[in-house]
Amino acid sequence: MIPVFVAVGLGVAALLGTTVYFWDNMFDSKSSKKNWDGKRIAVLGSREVGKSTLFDFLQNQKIDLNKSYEQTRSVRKIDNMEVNIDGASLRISTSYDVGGGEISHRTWLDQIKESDYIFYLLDANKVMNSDRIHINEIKKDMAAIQKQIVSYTNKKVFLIATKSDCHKQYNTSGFEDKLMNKSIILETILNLGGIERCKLIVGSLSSTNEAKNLVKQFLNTDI
Amino acid sequence: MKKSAEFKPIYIWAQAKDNVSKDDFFEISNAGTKKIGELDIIQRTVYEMNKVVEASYSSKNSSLKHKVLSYLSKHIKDFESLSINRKGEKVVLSFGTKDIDRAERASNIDVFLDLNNIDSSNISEYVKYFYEGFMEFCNVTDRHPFDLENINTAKFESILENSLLKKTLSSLPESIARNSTYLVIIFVILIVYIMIATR
Repeated sequence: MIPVFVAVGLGVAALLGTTVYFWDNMFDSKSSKKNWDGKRIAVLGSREVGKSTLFDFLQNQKIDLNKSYEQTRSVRKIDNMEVNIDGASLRISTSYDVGGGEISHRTWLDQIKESDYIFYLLDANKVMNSDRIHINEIKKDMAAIQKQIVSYTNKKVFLIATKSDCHKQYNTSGFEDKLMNKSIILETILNLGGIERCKLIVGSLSSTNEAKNLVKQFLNTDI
Repeated sequence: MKKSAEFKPIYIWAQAKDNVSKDDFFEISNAGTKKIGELDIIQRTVYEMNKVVEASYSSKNSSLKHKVLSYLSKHIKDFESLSINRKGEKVVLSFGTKDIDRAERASNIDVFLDLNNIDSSNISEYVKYFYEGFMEFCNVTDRHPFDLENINTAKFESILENSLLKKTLSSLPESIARNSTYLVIIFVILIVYIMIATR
């Protein structure tokens, strides 16, 4: 009997080990490195959607809940940002974190021009709750950047829905589909070049683990 | 002394504390201090401000002038709540405040100066021009830049006396010079002016 338990135990350990190995390997794939190494990114979006939190996470790979933030009003730029997550190491050449709101739209256009990948963040919880103010902000943002994004056919866009954890249906099956079916999401994807160029990423930046999961999603995206 | 009519407008920007309403964006000019509502003007000005901030990234940590500023900042309490970015004669001052937004982030005040046409003969008048407009902005918008009364005035004055600022400071009325808030603003504008003049 004991040898059976030992065999089962070894089997489970081997399975877990393989899973962990392949998870890291999958993340640290050549395609991921090829896609991201040396690239320039711009983090855009309305106010309070987590732009600076994502920017800081990429830089430090942790979410510091005690960190005190300032409203981002100008451009934060970091050269040669090393992103190390679960053994994967990527070098992003230049990253821009830009203030939100229509007041900064003119600056956004420069950052779009200067970047290979555009991250446009929105608040999933507000979208799910059909928050009129946030939806209007997104529409204004799209009106300001849509032409520029579409004109650069080589730029990829990630539509990143943050704060999903604030919604009660987060982590239930079909949450992503429900979000995807919101007209503002469909409209935004179309404005950002359609599904060929714009990938929806759904998650949260409320903790280091949540942020890791979110970042892994876009790092693993085949673009 | 040059007439204040020759001073370029100064722009002051503080983001809305609820992050949804219109931001507080004001212009100080010789006609007075007024709120700016035209989005196009605001976007253009913010764009220029961002260019100044961005340009400062590359010059920081490398210039002697920056080292001088770092040295002085160690001697003045609360000076770290103020950051200075410069590109040519364009300057962005960012004042730390006690104000926080609804996401509990600090809501600071940015000021955009164009020091073209400012020289030793009119700098004290320019400081007054700025100070009065800045205070009016704070009153009207209920903004609270960090109280600079904590500055160790004696040390500050001795720094000034040992620096290039002595000559200009002596031309200011004593009562004004004793106001520490005023002194810091004078100091900042002077140091930026000297940085540009000695470039």
